[in-house]
Amino acid sequence: MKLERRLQIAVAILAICGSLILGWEKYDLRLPLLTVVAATVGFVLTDLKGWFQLGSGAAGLVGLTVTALALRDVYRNIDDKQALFLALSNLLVYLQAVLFVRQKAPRVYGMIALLSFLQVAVSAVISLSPLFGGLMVLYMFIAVYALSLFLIYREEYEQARFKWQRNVAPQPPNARWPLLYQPLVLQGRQKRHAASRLRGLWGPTMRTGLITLLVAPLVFVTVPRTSSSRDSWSAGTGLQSTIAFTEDVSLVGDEFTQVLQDPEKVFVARFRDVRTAQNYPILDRDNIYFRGSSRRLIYRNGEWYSDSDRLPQLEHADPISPFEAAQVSPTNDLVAVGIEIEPLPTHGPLRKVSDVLFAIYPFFGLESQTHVYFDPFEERLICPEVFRSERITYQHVTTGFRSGQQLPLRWTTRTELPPDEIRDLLSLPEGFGEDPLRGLKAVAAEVVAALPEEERNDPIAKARALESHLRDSGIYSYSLSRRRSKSDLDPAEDFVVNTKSGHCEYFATVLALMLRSQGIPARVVTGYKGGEWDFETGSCLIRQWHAHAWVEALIPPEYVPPEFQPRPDRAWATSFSRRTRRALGLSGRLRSNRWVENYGVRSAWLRLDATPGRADLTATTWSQVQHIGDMAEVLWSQYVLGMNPQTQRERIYTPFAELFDAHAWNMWWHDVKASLSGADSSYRWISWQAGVVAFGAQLLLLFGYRGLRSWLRRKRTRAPESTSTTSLSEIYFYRRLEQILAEADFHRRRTQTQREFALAVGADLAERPTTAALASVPRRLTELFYRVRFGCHSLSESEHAAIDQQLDALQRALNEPEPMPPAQQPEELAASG
Amino acid sequence: MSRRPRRQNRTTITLEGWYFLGIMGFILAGALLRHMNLLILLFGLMLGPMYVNWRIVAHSLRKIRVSRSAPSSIVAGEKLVVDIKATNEGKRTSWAVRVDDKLTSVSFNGVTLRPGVLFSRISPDETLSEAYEGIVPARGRYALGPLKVTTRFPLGLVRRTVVHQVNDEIIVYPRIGQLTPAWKERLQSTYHGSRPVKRQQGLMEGDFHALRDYRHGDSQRWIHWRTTARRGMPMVRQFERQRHHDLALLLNLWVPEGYTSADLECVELAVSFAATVVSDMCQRGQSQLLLGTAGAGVAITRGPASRGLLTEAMEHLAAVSAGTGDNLARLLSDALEQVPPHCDLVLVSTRGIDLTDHERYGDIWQDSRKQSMLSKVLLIDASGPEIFRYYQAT
Repeated sequence: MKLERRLQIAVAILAICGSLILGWEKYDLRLPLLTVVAATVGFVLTDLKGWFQLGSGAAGLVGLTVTALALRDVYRNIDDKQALFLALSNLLVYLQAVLFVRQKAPRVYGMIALLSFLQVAVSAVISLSPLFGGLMVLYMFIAVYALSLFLIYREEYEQARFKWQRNVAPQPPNARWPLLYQPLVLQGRQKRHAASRLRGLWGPTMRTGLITLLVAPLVFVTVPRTSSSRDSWSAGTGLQSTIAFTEDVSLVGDEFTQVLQDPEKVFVARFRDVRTAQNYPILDRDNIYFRGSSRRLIYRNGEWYSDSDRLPQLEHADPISPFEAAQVSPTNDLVAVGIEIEPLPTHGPLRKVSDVLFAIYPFFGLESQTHVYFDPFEERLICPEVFRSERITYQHVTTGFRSGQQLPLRWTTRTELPPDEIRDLLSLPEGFGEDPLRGLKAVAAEVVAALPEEERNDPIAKARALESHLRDSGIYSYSLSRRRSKSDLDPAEDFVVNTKSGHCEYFATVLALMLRSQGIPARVVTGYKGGEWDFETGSCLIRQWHAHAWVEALIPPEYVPPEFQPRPDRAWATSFSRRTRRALGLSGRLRSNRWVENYGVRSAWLRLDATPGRADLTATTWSQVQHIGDMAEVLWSQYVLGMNPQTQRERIYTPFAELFDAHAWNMWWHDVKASLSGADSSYRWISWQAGVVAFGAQLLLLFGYRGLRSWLRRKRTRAPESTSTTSLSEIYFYRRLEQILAEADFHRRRTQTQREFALAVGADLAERPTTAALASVPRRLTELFYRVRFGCHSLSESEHAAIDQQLDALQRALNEPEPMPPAQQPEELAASG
Repeated sequence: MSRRPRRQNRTTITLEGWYFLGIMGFILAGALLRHMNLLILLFGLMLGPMYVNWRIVAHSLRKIRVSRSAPSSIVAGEKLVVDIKATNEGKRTSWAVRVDDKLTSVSFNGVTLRPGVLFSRISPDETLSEAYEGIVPARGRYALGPLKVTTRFPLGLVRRTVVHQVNDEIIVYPRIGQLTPAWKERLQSTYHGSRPVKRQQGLMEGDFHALRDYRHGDSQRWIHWRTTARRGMPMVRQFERQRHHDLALLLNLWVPEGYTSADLECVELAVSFAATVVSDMCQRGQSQLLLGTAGAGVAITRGPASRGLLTEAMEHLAAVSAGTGDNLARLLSDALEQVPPHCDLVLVSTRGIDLTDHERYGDIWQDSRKQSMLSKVLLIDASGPEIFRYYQAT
């Protein structure tokens, strides 16, 4: 295939790939489709057939028109950054389409490639998906190959057309000898190369691509970040959102976006058993809920909000007293929870505003050196924003654990909830005309209807059934993609009826609304779930991506299961209180219990989490692919999109700095020596046998590789000789000569050279009358053979013909029968007789 | 202040490379200011090719050897073909290797051209040959070299240049025209001088002596048809009374101060005419030839007309340059001392000359031998139309 044809195909693929990256990010396949059509039409009609070609003037006119239309769109959507990007993307693709049908020259190919690159750059601004990374790698390889072709094409193009010209002397008007004034002109005599000249171009392409794949991550992780990695531009345009704690729960946003996981560190929690003063052994570590806030009670059009403007009533007080806690939950464990929470960025583009702190409810014995308060009405722990710029440390004791597991039920903080709050907890959105949640309500009713008769009035049974329907039925799936099927539907209704896929806020919202539709007061709670556990210290690191939303349903006292019923035991509580407080080091006095007489009438909050775990995906091939995709997504979010100064410092700079830390090396060497001497039992996994085998295997690999490489090299250098058809065809005549002579019983001895053989044969032929005239042929052909074989002489067509003629004549002469000797005369016969 | 000389072997960023770096800088600035990690990734993906381009170009030319094959001399107006050979002694294929030559006119106004050839692909242990060609219209000495080997492969962002000191020289001879019959007639009349020309009766001039190759100007009647048929090439009969014209050809290449193109044209016409005469004489042979020039200096070349003299004389004419000084008297004096009395004398001048000027040529007029020779000089003024009577420029 011609060089230019290859280039045309490569550039077309490059352009399609670029627009595919752009269109994929916008979930708009029109742009790549347009590029495919333009590239195909341009290749077939313009490049291949030459039927339709836009000249530079016409192409410029069309380009200007397209630009004007795009600028009009830009002007109209100057405030809408999304629309701005869309207009820019369209402009790039339209201009590229025009160039495809233009008469081609190196400059046109370069412009197409440039526009394609700009599309990728725009995609990088708006992109969230890890697929962008994959497509970028593919694009990079194609781009390197296309640019390599482009360079060779451009060099050959210029070489073929360029003339070096210089006037020696200006020609006077009345020149007598015009020839004298001819310019000095030189031009390259470019040969037409075969397509095989491009063989092996993939080598440098692959080399470039692979090295780029090494360099790019290195650059990526070492370029210093000035602030948190979250993309303020994208965040500002609403193109990107992350899993991070917020009091606001909203299902409204861009129709097709991806929620990303922010790896930013939030706090570290440590759990100690109050009785033993040891780390508290938590069994179900993935299901630890750090409660944050639940103040948004009203749901409307996909958003939760609060209709009260009440200022928080701050109490530097415990929600319950330890004494009370011990009484109401005598069988529960007492666990001290220490929390060290990271400061929030309080300025700059990534400023976060939040006064909510986190705790394991129910808690008491709150202690902090900073301003940490509890708001009993909204049940949240808060610290004024002005103090959030510093690290905050506080601790509390919780009765929320039993046997290493966090309990799902806890008593309400207040004895009675006011009616307006109960009303809010049961409120549902009302639409004009049709019920906006009719599908959701129908599903909830159906689930409840499926319960046994005796459980239909049990709020806990109903709540568990609805939770299980959402979490375990397999109908709904977890996804970080935020996709809406119908924008006119309520997002929760759309989730239940159409999409059936979403993240925790969707599940929590839908469950809360379903519970309300069944008359159970419920609210959405935001906080954190799970964490990264350090088994040595017993601490749990919580990052932003551990942010979670779940539901609390209000259960009347009469429906609380017996094992959660309070069992007043004053004697136990009295013996417990002071020792416990001393052990905990809690300050303040043990207050009298105001609610101890009333605990029996208090309601309880049942924690419900309808979000299916991602590990719950069934083990089908597709689900495994999805899981791999999710893993890639998480890695992409964590290490690419989520790379921020903190991550960079923790994972890149600090380990790198440790490489130069002499103390660390000394420690390492000490450990190695200890392991070698057997003093340190922790290094017993080191096996000398395995080491020897590994070392031997490495040596084998090394020598094998070197041997293979040298063998390939030898083979490559030998190959041209063994396959040199030219030399074989050039000396064919000598082989034929030997063949003809062999048929006449002339065989060259192994000790004879070709020349010696030819001379010997020539002498014999000269003695025969039929071959005497051709006696010199072997010698002449042998001389010619020497010239061809060793003198690099190439034979012309006429020489070939002459050789063939001589060989034919020699063959005929040798095949002719020898003439009989003249008949002897009778006298001679008599004399001889 | 002396300027620091540029390194001959160097790696530079091309114009496209600077554009690329500009885009990279823009992307990095946007990424850092707007906290866009993907733009940093894109920056990394751009830095990689830039780095690889630098490494590949640095490696590509390390084992490339180049040589040039050029003719040592050509005639002005004829095609010049210069072969460039490149050998890859390395183990990796080199791509898009460009070899640029440098052609500089040494003799005259220092015209310089930088022609080049392209080797799209040179495999390991492969030697390839490419050529550039063209017309060199003006005579003179031309220097070739050095050879500059460059590559920008694969992306054209970084260029590696390696200079090989491969230098040659080409001598471009003056253009050869055609002598008209009038030239021969005029030369003969000069030879016979005042002696009456004895017309030979019959077809031939003298007795048959031998057969020789046909030369331009020979009469068709001299062709020996039988031998021509046998040999396949025209052969003519040669006679005993061959006239051997010894010739002294003198050129006065004078130009005024502030000379114009027309003045230079006269010079070139005179030189070309001389080259044509010399070529003709040397092809004929059997005569003595003296070529003298008075331009920027005085130079004389003489000897029996032969191929060796032709080369020497053509090199003389290729390099001769006009001058504003009057060196004709010296040339005449030197030349007339060296030529025999029967020698034909032709003086081609770029301006009108009065040889009877006793003041100017006093030394010659005082010498009786020189005086007699000077009187039979054939004077041709190259600035007038007279030269075209004897010579047709091509």
